[in-house]
Amino acid sequence: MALISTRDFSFAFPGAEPILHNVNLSIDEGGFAVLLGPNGSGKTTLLQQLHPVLAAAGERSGDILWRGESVSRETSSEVARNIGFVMQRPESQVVTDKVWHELAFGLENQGMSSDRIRQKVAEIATYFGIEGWFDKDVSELSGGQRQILNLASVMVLDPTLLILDEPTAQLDPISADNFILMLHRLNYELGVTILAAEHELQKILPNATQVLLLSEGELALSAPPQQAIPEIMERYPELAPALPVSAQIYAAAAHNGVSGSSDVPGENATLSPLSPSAQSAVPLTVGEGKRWLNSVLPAAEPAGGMAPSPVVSGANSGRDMDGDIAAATDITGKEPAAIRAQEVWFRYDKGSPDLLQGLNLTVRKGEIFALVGANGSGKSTFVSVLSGVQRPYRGRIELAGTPLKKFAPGALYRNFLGVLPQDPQTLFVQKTVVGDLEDVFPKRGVQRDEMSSAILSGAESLGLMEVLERHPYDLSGGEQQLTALLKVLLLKPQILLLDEPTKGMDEAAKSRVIAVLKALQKRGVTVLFVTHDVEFAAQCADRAGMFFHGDVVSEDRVGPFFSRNNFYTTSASRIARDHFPMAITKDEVIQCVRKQMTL
Amino acid sequence: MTRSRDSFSMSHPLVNFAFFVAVLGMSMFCLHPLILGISLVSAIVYGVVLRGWRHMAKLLGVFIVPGVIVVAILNPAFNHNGVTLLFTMNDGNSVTLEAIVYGVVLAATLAVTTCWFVCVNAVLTRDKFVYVVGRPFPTASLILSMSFRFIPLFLRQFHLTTVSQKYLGRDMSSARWWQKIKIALSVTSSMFTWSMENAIHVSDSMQARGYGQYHRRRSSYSPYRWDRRNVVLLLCVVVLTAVSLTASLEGGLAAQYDPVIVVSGISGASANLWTWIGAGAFALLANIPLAIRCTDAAQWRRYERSLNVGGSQTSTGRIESAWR
Amino acid sequence: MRSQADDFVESLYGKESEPASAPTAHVDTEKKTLPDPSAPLVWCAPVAKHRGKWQAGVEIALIVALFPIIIFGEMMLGARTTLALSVAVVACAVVLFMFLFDTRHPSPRELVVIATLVALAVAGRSMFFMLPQFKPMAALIIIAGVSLGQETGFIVGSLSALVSNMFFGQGPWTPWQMLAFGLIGFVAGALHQAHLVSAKRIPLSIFGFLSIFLIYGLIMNSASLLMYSSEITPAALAMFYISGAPMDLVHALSTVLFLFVLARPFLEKMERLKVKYGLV
Repeated sequence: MALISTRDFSFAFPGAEPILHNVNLSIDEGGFAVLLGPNGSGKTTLLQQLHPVLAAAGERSGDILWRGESVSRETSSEVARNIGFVMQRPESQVVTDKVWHELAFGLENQGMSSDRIRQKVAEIATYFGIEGWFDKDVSELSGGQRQILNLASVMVLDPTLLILDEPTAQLDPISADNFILMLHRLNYELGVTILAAEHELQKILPNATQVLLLSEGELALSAPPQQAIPEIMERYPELAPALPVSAQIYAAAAHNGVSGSSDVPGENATLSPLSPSAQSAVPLTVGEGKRWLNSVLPAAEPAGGMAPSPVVSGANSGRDMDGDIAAATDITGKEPAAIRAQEVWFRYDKGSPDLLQGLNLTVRKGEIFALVGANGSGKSTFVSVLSGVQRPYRGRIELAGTPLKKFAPGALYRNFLGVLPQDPQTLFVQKTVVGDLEDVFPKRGVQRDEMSSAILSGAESLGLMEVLERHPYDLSGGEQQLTALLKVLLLKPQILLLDEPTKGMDEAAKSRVIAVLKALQKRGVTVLFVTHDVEFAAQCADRAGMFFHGDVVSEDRVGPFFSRNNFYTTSASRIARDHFPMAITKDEVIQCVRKQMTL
Repeated sequence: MTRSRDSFSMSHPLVNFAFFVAVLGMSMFCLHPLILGISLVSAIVYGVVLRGWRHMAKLLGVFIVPGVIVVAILNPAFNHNGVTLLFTMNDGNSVTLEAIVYGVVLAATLAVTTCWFVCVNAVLTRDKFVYVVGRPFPTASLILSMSFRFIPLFLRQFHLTTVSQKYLGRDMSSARWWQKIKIALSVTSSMFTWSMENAIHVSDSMQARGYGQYHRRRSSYSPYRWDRRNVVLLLCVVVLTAVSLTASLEGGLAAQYDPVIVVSGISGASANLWTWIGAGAFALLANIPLAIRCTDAAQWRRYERSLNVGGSQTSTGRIESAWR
Repeated sequence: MRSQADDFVESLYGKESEPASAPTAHVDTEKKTLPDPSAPLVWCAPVAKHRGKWQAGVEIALIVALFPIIIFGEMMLGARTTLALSVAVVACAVVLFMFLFDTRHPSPRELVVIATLVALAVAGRSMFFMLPQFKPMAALIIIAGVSLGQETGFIVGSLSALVSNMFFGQGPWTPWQMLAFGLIGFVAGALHQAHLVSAKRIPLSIFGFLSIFLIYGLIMNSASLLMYSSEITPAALAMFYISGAPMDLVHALSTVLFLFVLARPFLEKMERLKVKYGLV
């Protein structure tokens, strides 16, 4: 019997169009369900409606069933006690100021005795590895720790079902991985039923037992991953980029096979016709992808092994790629430096450690440069030093050939240096998105036509047309990020510094950002971004560098950079590096695989 | 300096509270010079132990001494009672010895309370307040805890918002004053919206974890425990306070400055047994924190010495300690 | 091939060769999508709360009884006894309000909003740390009293005082400040409910100015008088009042400034929240 299910469930906010239509979902006890769907498809609303206490008021029809019985007014609080809920923003769920108090909070609400609380808190803190920071203030924790704390303080109440609304959207990839591993552990070891909305499926899908797809308020799909993936590829190509890279490469290769043969298109059985093991499952993890690729491609030449080499085994594709990169270097080599940092040293206080230690970096005009690196390594500090908010105590920073110190305080940001800070909400001051965007323009001296055309075409190219009238805080994390980016772009910067620009974005949004950044690049705008998102960096940037120990190490063109890295590299490169060492993005790998197949 | 490990600060919050209520109450309401003197010395010594002599010296020099002088001078300006006339002011009001003495005594209470509050601020940390308020008023205590959570969050958000507005060309430091106000206003107002939006998320999170969903009374958990040591400490505080109060009620600590100075043991009344019992009990009371600190330190030194002795006796012991 | 992104960049930076010209394609959509963001403002009176009539009665009786008790004590007994008595009364007042608040079982939303207001008041004080007495605390407490009612006003006020002293140092003044700020919030709420102070910036600013001198100043100066003077007479109180007047004036003016600037946007946002989330 299903643990929780809905029967023809529909919902509309008061006085608004229905947001959910006849949803029929069913989640088995002990299952791990992943809910996906584009931004604004009603995921959050659905998840909240499943929780009797969090359900927003509105017009509801149909039933929600808990263990086969309809949830009524009498049973709702009992059901609520069995459901744990974790939300998106780590910092907005913490109630108290101390870690231990936060863990005890839910138990206090139950009126539990101190001794019993002590036992349960001890147990949960040990399981989640919280002992090390048990006595700390919540404000001292990192975002990842805070989200683990939120999970632990929900789990201490022993829920049967755990609902999570994009829990990793605000986390860096390493914390996100830890979080998802923890979810897997809860499901695997404790048998907790999990329902999680996610837009980044790379890590979560291999653990899932069920994929739910919500599209325009309707449940379009509910199936195990192996069945769901081919169907998503076929029916919802716009969601395909969110799937694990190995599955995408697999599907693309399969599709290639289909178009090669004269089979009936669209039939599922034809999806994996190209390998001897035709019935093999869709590869979900990097390891599975690697195994699959090895089984379909001729064995890689030993020279291609781990060491990156200019000799590419996939002859055609490799040459193409080298050619591209060479062309890119030609452009950037001649241009003057837009950003130049020479032996920059910085620390916050006299006593604190140096966060920048003799940093050297040159970014040429019209270049897109990606800076990757671990959390807390000082990447964001570097952005604030480059943008003139913090002043280095030694060293020299030049923007477009002029020392940073020479800029008048007001002139720097006017049509010259655009900075996208890490938290997009800090840019919003108005009641609507459009009001906030207009806020950038001076009150007088700007033609309204010019202003609105810039806003509208910007909103169109970033996919924000639907949300222009909404309150900025009512947008999803990814939409807020896009709005913030647009707001910064409206200042017409010549140099753009972006701090984690893709946090919380789905793949569609990321590709729009890439398109805009590439278009800006054509007009000679220089972009430097700091990111954890290696996939985005590989797709978007010309050159990349690794931030480590206060300096930029191993800066290079993205191709060699990521193919040389073994740990800090894209999934596509990990899967295919034995065969195509220079292919780093999934599109490049797909291209290579296709070429190899047609040979 | 082992300023961070104070035994009294690590004991149960109720012991801390009871101690400070007793000491502050006695110092403020019993104006006997003996009590004030003991209290002042104990407070200064404990303050130096907790915060260092530099801090206490600065406090005494900058804040206490001027305050004491003002209070001591102001009092005779209003109080003209007293039998010992010293001189008459221009406006015809008389200045008496009693009024001056009374002023000095009141100034001493000012100094004493200020010094004790240095210790209060060091010992009674925020979570102790949350605990003590939480016993009778769980809701108010929860608000306290939440606001301690929000304050650093808001300050950080405020800082980030100011920086972000700078990126948008709204630089507080370079703008004209009316622009500055405008920027400050927009930052403050966006902060307000942000914090209220945050409040809604937090309350959802509270409800999702069952706040207000149970009919039972909410319990309040604390990591503090009533072990034997704390019970003994609390008993000491209660007994010593009771003894000093009794002494004071029995007249042993009587102090009157208006219109005649009657202070037992000093002037007007002779010291009796209760005077010495009261003063002794209060001296013990006021030095409880220092006493347990010293005892603990001595105990630790003994422990360390016993380790060293054991280590040097046998070769295996030495090797073991080397491994550690 | 041209993309939307190229169009956008072009609309920002102008065409590559020719100077920027306003595209006409969007002109008609402009009216549709760019409305005036300023919406009409609706003030609401605080919704009546579900509480026993006796509670309100006790509160009023307490406020009324407070000062006579102290004055009586001063006349009948010696100065130190008056101090003891008034400390006891202050403690009782604060404790009683806390008790009444606790028994009302406020909703989680209300609790978090109160905690947020307290935190904002304290964070606001620490932002202007270098300017003594220049603090937005009273302004926020008045806003809380007006928009959330007198009891909540008292709680916000007294807890703000307590929390703020936990960051800036407790002292003998803590209970007095808790009472003083609590009363400011209470009186603001009560007068608003009695339609004597409307939620407009001018009346609020006037109330803010007076509340500092008549409530905060009166209580805090009486407290210093009780603690550090042997003679409790109107003349002595006047002396303390005058010596504290410059500080009180800065405090009152800063309150007026904050209220004048912040009352409107903050009250507006509180109303939006009350409507959106069914607060109070």
